[in-house]
Amino acid sequence: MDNLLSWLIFIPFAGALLIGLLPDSKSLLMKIVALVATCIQLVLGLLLFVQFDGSVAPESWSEAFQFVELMPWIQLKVGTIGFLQIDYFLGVDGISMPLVVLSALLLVIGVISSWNLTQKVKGYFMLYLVLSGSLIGCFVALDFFLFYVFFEFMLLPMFFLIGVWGGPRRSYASIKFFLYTLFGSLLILVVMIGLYLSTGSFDEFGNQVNTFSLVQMMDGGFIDSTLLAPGSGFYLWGESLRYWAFVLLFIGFIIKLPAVPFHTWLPDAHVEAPTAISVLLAGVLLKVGGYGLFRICYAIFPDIAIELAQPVAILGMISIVYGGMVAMAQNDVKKLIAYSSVSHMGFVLLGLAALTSEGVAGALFQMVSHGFISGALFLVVGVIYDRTHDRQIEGLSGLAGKMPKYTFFVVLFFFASLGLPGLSGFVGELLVLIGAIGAESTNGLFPRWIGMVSVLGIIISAGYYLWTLQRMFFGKYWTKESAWDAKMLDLTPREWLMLVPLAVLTLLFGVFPSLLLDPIENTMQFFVESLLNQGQTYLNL
Amino acid sequence: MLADQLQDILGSLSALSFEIGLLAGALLLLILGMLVKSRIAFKIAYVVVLIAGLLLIRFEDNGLMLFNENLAIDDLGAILKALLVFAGIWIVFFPTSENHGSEFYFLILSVIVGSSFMLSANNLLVIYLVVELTSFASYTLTNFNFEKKSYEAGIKYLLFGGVSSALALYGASILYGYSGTLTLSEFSFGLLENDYFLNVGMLLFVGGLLFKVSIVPFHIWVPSTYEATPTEAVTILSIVPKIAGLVLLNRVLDSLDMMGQSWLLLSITILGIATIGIGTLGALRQTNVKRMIAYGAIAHSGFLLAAVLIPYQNGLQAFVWYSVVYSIMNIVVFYLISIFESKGITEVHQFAGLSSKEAYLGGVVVVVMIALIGLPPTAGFTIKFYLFTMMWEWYQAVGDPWMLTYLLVAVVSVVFSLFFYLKVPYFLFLKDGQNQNYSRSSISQRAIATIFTLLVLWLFFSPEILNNIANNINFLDW
Repeated sequence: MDNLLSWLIFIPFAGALLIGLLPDSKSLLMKIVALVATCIQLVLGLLLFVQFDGSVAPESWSEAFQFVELMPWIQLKVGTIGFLQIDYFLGVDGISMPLVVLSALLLVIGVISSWNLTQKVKGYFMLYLVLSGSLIGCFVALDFFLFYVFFEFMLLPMFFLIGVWGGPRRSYASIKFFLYTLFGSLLILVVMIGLYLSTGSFDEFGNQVNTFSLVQMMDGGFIDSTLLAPGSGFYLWGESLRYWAFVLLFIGFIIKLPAVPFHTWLPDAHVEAPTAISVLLAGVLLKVGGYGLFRICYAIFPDIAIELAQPVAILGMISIVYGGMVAMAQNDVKKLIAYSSVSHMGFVLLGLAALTSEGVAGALFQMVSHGFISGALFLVVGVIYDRTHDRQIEGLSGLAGKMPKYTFFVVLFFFASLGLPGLSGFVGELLVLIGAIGAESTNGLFPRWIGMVSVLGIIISAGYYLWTLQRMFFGKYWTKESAWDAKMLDLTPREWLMLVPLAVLTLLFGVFPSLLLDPIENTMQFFVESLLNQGQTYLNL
Repeated sequence: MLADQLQDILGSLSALSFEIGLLAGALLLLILGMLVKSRIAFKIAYVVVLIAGLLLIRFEDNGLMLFNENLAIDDLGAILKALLVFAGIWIVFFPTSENHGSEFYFLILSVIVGSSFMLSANNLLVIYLVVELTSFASYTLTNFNFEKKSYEAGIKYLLFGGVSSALALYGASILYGYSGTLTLSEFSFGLLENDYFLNVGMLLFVGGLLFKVSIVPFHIWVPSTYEATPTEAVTILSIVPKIAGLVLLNRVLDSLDMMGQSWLLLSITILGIATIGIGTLGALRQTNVKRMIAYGAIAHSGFLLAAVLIPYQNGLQAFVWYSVVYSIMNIVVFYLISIFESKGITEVHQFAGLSSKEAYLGGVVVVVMIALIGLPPTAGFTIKFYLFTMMWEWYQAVGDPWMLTYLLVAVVSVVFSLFFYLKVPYFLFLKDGQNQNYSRSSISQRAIATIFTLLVLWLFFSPEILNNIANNINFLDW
């Protein structure tokens, strides 16, 4: 199929438009439109997964991408600087492909999960579909400008989805979410301007043509003696401008990831967001931050990535341990999962910082598997919340006897999240830890103890998950309010429909990690090699 | 000799057909006001005058010096005159503009004429005169709501304006004493720039201009004036004198010819940074929508000033981009305010829960506010992006740390501006409220708002048209 990626982006936008044209009363039809649009997306996503050729071993980033679509979008003559070229440039490689497939899947599950919505249905599904399209767009855009537009374009739907359909403190949470992410994205904007002014080539008339092409930036197509060109010798407060650019980008993306100390918006947003939006937030939106680190922060600034490997790894370690410890102290299950997300996203930072093939592949694997697992965890919490409108751990006890099938899924996903071998969470964390501990002997970027301390994170997560299981699901059956008792029925067919695919995938990727690791292997290999080589070259300039 | 001068004056007159046409139209409008009492007739006559003016604008690629170098006509001025007229036309559609007599439109036309003279003024005295022409019309316009509040705002505006023009006049006299000329293009202060007295003179003169374009600390009149003035007049005040004043400021600074060395330039840069900061922070605490937008407009002045401070073509191109989109955004935001005002909604909290009745217009409000913040996919983002690019480029070229500071403050201010610009959508969609008595906006109102909103979106997706305009201007260095 031609233009697969464009279809992936624009089908939800078309769906949103269609819903906008329907009269307010046809709420069922709107849900069906949303479901159909996301299902088409899922089918296309699976097609992408099947057709993706993992055997391509690239020599440069320009060879690494498949399903490439390139069309000139805007060409401007900018004052005396020269020309500015913005392209509609899409493509996927081993980094983005799994994330696109993951998003397509979770988007369908999100629609199913919001099926019972009755309030302002039209607005909800319009925003939801706009968000869907932008998310995919973010993962497949290879033009920085395009990426940035999609990146910003996600904020507004998310703001309203949390702010209008959320819990009691929704307005606070949505504003906080918006402010944090907007702040981050403005840092990215500054670097984007600098990068495009530093990247480009000359056309046949000798005019300088600046480009936003991420591919060219990753391949090092900088213009000599511009501010962000390697070795150009521009310094600010004792460090090179590339260093500061990396720092700004890094902060911008770890706000989204999120990592300590920029994680505080996440628990609020999760607690107030409706279930489906929590699923998307944890499952996909956080991955945009991780993806940005891979694609932009690390691949474009390899020299600084090497220079700052140790601080980044330590930040990852702190996120893992601190996030886990805070999770242990929570009484609200959603908050617990939110903080555990912070902890698990710390592994992404750690694996990436190691710059070994295990670490980086592990980081990507962790992103995908955390997408399934955290999505499923929020669905699981949603099941309880739908019945009781309460999420406190201490409000319930002994559910295992009353809702055995539900408890099965809870146990499965809790174990997957804490890293039980045989489930997908284990693979990612193991690879990251191997990479991090091995970094000292392979490339010597940071010492072993950072990885070793991070292992604590797994133990801590075992602690809070098992403790939660014990308090909520085992022991004598009890509910805080007697009215809840009648509602404690086991899973409905709709809930089965959402949980089973995620459970299957969690198992599948746990037992056969090669399903995911094989197609991405070549990209990961190239990512690490080119990063280390290019980084050294840049540092020696 | 005398014959030559006469020839010069007569020859110059034809190049001023736009200004003369508008002035004649304004006078005719006054006479019309004595003959008929139909409100609609005034509106029609006003639009006819503006459109006739639009047709009279002359484009001079290589520029013309008129009246003994007192006026300089160039492309940039012509484009911006068209923009000013364009901004002027739309106010007749404002629902709050039903009851104005012909004198109101006469004053609006005076502001536009004064501002178009500002675009070409090349002599300190001429500058003083045309700034006063614009200002006096503005002072009077402030009172057209005929309430206590508007008199108060009008007096405030008049006092500040009077003091700053007195200072500007004093500054001009110092400049004249030093240089022996009043003509800008004959200035060459480069040699004398370390003379503090001279710099003080320039600062005083420039201060008079900064007052018109609401740069901190000359911005104090803005919020209360905007709040008390009829919304359609605010639309004009927030666009027309501001753009003209900044072009004039650019010409004055250019003529002083002291790229990046003088402390005058440095202090204006710092004032620009302060303008963005204070405008944005001041808006945060506002509860009245017009006051809020007024502070937002102050912050936008800071952005526009940045474009003026970047020398040569780059800065002016960014300025053209910014002023076109800024005008469009301001027209539509004040149009929306006017719609809600005509239904008695002026405070932010009154918007609570309106989305149940006014969902469509609510969506339009969201897009417009997003554009004012400067987020994609709106042209508001494009102009900020373009301006930031130019600032970065200038920083790269000369390594001026103040320009980097300016850039960073501007970027950070966007985050803060999110806070207040989103207040209205926030109350509209996220809060619940009682609005039984609210009557929905009419289809034509929604249509006009939609056209402008689409324009804001369209200019993001295909900015080539703006780029063509900006690139086809022959920027002259007088």
